[in-house]
Amino acid sequence: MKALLLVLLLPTSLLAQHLRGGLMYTDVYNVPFVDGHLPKLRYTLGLSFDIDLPVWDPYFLRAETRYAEKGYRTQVNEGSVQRDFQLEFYYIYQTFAAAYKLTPKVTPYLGLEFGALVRTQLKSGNRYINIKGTYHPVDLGFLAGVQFFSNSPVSLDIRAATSVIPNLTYESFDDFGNPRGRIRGVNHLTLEVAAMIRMFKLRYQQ
Amino acid sequence: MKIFYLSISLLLLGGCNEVYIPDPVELRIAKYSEEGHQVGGAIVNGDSWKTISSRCYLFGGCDASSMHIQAFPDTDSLVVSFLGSMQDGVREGDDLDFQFILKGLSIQDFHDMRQLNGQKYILNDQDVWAQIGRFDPYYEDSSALTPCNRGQILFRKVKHRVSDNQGSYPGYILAGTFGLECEQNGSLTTIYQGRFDFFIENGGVIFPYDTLF
Repeated sequence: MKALLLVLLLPTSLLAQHLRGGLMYTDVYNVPFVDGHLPKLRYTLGLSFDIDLPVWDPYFLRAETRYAEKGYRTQVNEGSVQRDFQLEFYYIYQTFAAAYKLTPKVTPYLGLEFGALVRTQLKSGNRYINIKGTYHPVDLGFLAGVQFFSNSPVSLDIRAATSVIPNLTYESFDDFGNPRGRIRGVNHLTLEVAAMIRMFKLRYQQ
Repeated sequence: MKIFYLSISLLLLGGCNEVYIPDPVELRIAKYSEEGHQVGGAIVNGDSWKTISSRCYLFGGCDASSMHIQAFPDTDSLVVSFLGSMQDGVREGDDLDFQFILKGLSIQDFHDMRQLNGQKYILNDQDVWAQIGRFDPYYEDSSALTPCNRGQILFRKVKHRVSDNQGSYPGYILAGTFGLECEQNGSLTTIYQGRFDFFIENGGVIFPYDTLF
């Protein structure tokens, strides 16, 4: 996992053109085994660089490495009391997106993201419990977004992303403990609003 | 005599660290594992139950393990006990233990535990039965125990683990699931989604006094 993180982090860090940070509205879908779930507000922070060759114009590629906290909340009824649980997933993502300069100020893009799961924890009351080896170590996602004021040093980036593959494969049991087959679920769904700060422009970029 | 056996079991089964990882579906109990995590869990009448890490008794003595196995070759019986307590609900903090009595297994020595691997034992009032309550090895009162009329225990994995360089001892990992319904005086106690994952060192199954010494 450490080697994977290094491979993900190194190229983007060395070539970083943009610093990107913002808030993330995060939830899950495909969780039929949970009685209701609620979204969480988390944050994301990353670096990106563009491969913006004149011959490709008006298209260009964007590579991004970012840290993102995803998760969801759920509640369990215990008599008259409701107990709150929060699942938190910490990822390092490498994103590759194809962008299109629609206007000088608006740049929509589509892409894929590959996330390495760094840590998962369950929060219940004041207790934090580390969850090891339960969820898939890699999250594969699809994303779509729009960067506004993209020709300015500071721009606004709005993005939606979803897991393509469920992040949990788990054997379930009936009440008496008989195996009931494997269940698959927990796909992340996020909406991000971030600020992008351009640190420099490459010579061929306009 | 029984007191003596249990006292020995405290020494042999204890001392290992619990690894608690929540179940991704039923978040209130430990997830099912086969690694020797020294933990068990269940949902009792809708509230969560977990095995204990230690317990001390009114008339002295402390327990440092929550899974006890006693073999009685003369009567061809194996007694498997899980000691635990309620984690939430109106009975939060109350001790509650489960005990399975299995007959006809011919457990003659520690390595005979392997024959449990993959076996399911369904309560039948003849050679498989179970009871719940609070087991106190120093003050036994069987009238306080509730017999169970429906249920089972499934030993999904019993595997040998050799010693490693970190100084661990060889022994067996016993992992499985269980469920019970126990009724007494019209009051039904349901124990659902039970699971356990324990490592028991060689010699950790207690045999009668004259066999052990």
